[in-house]
Amino acid sequence: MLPETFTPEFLRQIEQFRVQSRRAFLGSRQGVHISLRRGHGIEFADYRKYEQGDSIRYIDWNTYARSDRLYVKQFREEEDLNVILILDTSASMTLPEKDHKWEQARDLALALAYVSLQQQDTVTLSALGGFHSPNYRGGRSFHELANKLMELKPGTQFDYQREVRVAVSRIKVPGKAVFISDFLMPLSELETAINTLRAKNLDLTAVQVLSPSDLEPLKGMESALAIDSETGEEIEVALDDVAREDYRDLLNEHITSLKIFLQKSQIPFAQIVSDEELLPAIIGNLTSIGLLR
Amino acid sequence: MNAISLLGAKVGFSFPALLIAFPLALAVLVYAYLNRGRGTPVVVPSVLILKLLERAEVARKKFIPPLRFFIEFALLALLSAVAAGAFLEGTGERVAVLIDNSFSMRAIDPSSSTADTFLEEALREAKLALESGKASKAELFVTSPKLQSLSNGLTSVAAASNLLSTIKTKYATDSLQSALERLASNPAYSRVFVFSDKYPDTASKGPRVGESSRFVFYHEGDSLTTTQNIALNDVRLLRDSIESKTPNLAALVGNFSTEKVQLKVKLEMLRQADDPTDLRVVRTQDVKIGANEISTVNFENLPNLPIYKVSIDAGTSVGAKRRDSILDDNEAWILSESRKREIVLISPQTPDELGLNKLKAISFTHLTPEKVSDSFLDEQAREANVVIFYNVAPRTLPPVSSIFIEPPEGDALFSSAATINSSQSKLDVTTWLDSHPITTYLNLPALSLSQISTLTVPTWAARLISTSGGVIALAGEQMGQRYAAFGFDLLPFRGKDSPLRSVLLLNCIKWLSDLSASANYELTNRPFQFAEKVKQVLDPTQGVVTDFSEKEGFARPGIYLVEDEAGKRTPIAVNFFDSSESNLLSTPAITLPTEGLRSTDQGTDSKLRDLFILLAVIFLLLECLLWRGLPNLKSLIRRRV
Repeated sequence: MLPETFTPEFLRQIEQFRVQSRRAFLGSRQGVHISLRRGHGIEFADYRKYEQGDSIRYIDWNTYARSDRLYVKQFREEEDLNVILILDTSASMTLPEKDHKWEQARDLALALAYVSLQQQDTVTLSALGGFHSPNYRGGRSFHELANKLMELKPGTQFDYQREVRVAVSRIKVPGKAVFISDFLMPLSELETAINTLRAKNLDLTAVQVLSPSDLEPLKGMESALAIDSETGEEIEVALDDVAREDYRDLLNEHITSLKIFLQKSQIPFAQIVSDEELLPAIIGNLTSIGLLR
Repeated sequence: MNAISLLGAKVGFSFPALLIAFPLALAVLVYAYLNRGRGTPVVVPSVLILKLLERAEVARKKFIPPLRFFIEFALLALLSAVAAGAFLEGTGERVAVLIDNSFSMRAIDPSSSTADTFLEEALREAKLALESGKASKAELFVTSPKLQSLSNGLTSVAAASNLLSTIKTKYATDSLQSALERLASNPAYSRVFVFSDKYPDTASKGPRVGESSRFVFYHEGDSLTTTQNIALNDVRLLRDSIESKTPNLAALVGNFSTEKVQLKVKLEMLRQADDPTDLRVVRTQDVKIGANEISTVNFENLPNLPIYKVSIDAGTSVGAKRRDSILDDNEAWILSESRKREIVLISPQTPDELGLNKLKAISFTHLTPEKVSDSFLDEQAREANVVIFYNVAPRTLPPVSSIFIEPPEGDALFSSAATINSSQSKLDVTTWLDSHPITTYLNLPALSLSQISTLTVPTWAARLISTSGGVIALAGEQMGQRYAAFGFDLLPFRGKDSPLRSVLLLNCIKWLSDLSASANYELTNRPFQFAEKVKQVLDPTQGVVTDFSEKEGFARPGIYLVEDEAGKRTPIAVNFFDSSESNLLSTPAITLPTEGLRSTDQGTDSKLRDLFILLAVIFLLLECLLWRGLPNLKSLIRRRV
């Protein structure tokens, strides 16, 4: 069963995109990504001396004409890419329900998985605090992955750093990793998690999914007892116009700090709000950071 | 709680009941802080950013009051103290409030559009004066029937103000002057507020006089509007002889208004006191009385009925109402039979032998001189109204009003000296004291005197009748008792057969016993003497009268039944006659006493209240600055940066 967003028209639209990696990784099968391996792809890699048994089709006659020596062209092998989707399933992703933040993050992960599977990539899904999937290959495995994701009940409490370590430990072949979360945690904790992922030599991209309530909390209320959905911490807060302005400033500061860190770590960053249409968000935000083309 | 100790000083409160606001407000404050921000618990994705806000506080499980709580607590305490009228004991103004609740204050103020009486206006003004002034303590007095403190000492302004509603007018005079003198001599009061229909004898005649002095006089009514009244001044039952059973009734009617009036005077009778409503009209008379005049209206040859009621009616026109501001003095009761007076006769002869049995209104107890002991004269004689010593005299003045008729020669009191004249020529009366009640209007030269005893006049006595031989009648007062002595024989009593002597004797008895004009009624608020021990006094229509005492008398006019221990009930008529209270045209001016002593610790209301207000304002500014101004300023700076 697919989410409502995934209409045949939607799928046709996103089929046109390709997940791309900024670096070449070793694949395991034939694919569409330039591999580190030398093979018979279309991208020229290097020359080497002709050896007996080489196909004469690959002899570079121009070089022979200049040097009277026989050289053959080498091409990069095109192999598949290991795409790892890391999805935050903590309680903060599920509240408030009416904002559908979790649904947006889930649908984004599914869209990326669909694109990857269509281009014969290997997709692995790690739902932090949820499950760590096996490798999926081929378009037919999309529905199986989708069913698993739709059955997932987010909002459990878990040790964030531990789950990231577990997710990293299950990555056997490095590749392209997309970390989908709201990133509403102390920056120090974020840095630890990101660095754990970076240590696995992944081509990491961070996508932040926020809800309108994250941008403007406790709308219509002058004061409230705010209770953290994950830690249970209680804060008495009075929200007048000045305080709301302060909140926006502080949130922007937090996101800016995150961006600076990610920038220093050469990790692309995109932000999607849960009330945006997914297709335009994909087209607008993910292509601009080079995750999709 | 009227006062508390605070840092060594005693703090009092003008309105201590308002202190209840403080614990109530404190409870609301604590509740507000316990529930602050907790109005709606909301689970949010993360408080990561929220807790960075200036006005966010981590919720605590235990109530630990923040600084703001204590500032607001102090603010509440200060405002409660100000509302309750806090002052430093000994520094607030202490005032006496004197309300004239005499009979004249029943008058309806002719200048009042709401027909308020003078007393109602006085109470209203007194309440305003108390609550809007600077007094911290007050004592409430009334003038009638005697000067009395209702608050039993200085009390809070609020308590004194509440007592005002209990004040009612009395059937009594005001004794305002003496009341003022007494208050003037009491240094406890920094000011005395007086509320009366009288005027002080100052040049100013405004509604409030003497504001800057110790005595502040509030005059009720409008000085430009004359208050008028018509009243019964007295009623008397007269008999042309002591034996007569056909009395005449005389009613003195006063027209204390500025116009001639026509009145209807009605005489009604009551067969028995048990039912005062069963009145039957005996006679009516229409009389005309000139402005500011008293007229006597006579009803002659009346049937001998037990109880009479006299009433006057000026009509119901607007003019009549204007001329008669008090209606309560328009009727009076009188008994046909006066109460028997007890007189002790000390004489060798019996009362019958002396003709005294003809005096129906008097009960005589006879004692022969031998039976009179010194102890009798010292103690038992006090129980009699009057003692007649006939041909005897004690060595010292007895402690009871006494008549001495022909004391023996050389007696110790008057040094009686017998003068015997020839029966052929009578002794001449040379002088007599025409103004004295005993000898007034008598043709004393017509007195036939053949044998007299001249008397030495004591220093306390006045010469009533003198002859060429000496003083033969004297009278005076000593130690609260009245005494009269005659050097000629007044007895035996022969009634109209010896009119001069008879009248002299009757006048003497009347003057000595201090009877009302006819002894047929009592006056309100006068001590009541009864022959028997009074068990209870009944109002025929309302039952047992609770505001009666033998010492204080009857509080209100009317017909009463006095029941003795044996169960016998005697009707008593009670009236109030006082022209000084009924005559509203000429009210005597009151002389405000000199400043008198004043407490040295007087002062305007304490500065404590002002200090509390200042502190409250400071705390309010502090709260606004710390929890509103500064956070906004920080936000502004952050945005600018």
